[in-house]
Amino acid sequence: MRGWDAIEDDEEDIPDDLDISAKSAKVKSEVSKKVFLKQKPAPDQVVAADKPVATPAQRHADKISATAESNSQPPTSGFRGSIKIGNNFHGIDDVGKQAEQDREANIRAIASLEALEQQYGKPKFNKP
Amino acid sequence: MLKTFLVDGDKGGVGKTTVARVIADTFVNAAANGLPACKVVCLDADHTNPDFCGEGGYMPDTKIHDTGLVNLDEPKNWLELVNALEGIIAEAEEEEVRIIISMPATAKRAFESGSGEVAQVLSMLNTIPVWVMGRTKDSVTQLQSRIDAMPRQFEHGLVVTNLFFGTRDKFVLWDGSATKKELIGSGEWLETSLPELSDLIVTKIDRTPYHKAIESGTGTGGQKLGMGDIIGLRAFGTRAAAAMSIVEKIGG
Repeated sequence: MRGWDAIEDDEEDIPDDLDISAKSAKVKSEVSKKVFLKQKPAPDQVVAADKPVATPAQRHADKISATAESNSQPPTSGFRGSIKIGNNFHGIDDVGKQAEQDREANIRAIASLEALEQQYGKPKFNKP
Repeated sequence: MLKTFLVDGDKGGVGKTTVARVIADTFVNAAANGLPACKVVCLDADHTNPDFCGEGGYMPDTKIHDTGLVNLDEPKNWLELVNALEGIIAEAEEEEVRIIISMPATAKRAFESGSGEVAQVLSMLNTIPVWVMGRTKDSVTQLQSRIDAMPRQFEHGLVVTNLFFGTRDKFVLWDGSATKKELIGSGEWLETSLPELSDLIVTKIDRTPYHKAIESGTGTGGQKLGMGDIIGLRAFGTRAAAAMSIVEKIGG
């Protein structure tokens, strides 16, 4: 009965001077919205309504299609895939800058390694 | 059948993303590379620098089934990953699916936390570690740490030496290590080398997927590639795919 309680709470938001038919329409619409959201149809009900239960593969396809639809909106990050986990992705628009810095650091490290090799010779290993 | 290639390495800039891109392209052109036709899913876990699947990178198209940005630093996110992949895991019962995950340099936190969830997810996704080996000692010791933390999940895999950082004979620390002796000696791990790609081409294509750059003749920001760039890219693609196809032999 929590749904009905919620509806009663909502009624407090409706001004008292509101036309009664409008108030009734709003309550009715809230009822149908909340009942719809709360009621999860059982799989057999879905089949009865001529809508087969979606397989995981179908759900995945639907997800991709929904993402493609949302991608028709102006992109915020340029990301187009359907899977996004975690929200602290940095540098999505900062193309390649970090990689460039990392690579330069590696090249410097190798140069110093080679300088050491020239000075002291190659590392020696204990043979088994 | 599902196989997941977990491209990992000890730090940023060793070529993890490049290896992930090459593996993705190797399976995108599966027939040409003597591999089974399969659905390719690309996941970028490098949240500090998502060059694999961030803007301009690999995205769903006629050749890439799906892509994702996944922060796998926390064990709980690995569980969310399984939820997100539920559909593709189901599809893999009927057809070949290959998932390529590009890991961040910070990945060690997830592996070495001793998380049972991470280990289970790796097993469920039939994960094959692909370790991009650098020329530093850390690169060898980090690989050994991964194996020590999750021996079952790292019982087979591929080591890739990136020839961008020098000819093969320069990887002396790896070649002389007990880790190499044990892994390669066991026959469960294989080794290959990633050929070098010209700096100029790397700069021009940036995050653009190799197959897209070759098809469209354009690189980052729609920059037109020269004929020489296309020839260089094709040659790299052929050599890299030949080197990387070996990954399919691992894990049955």
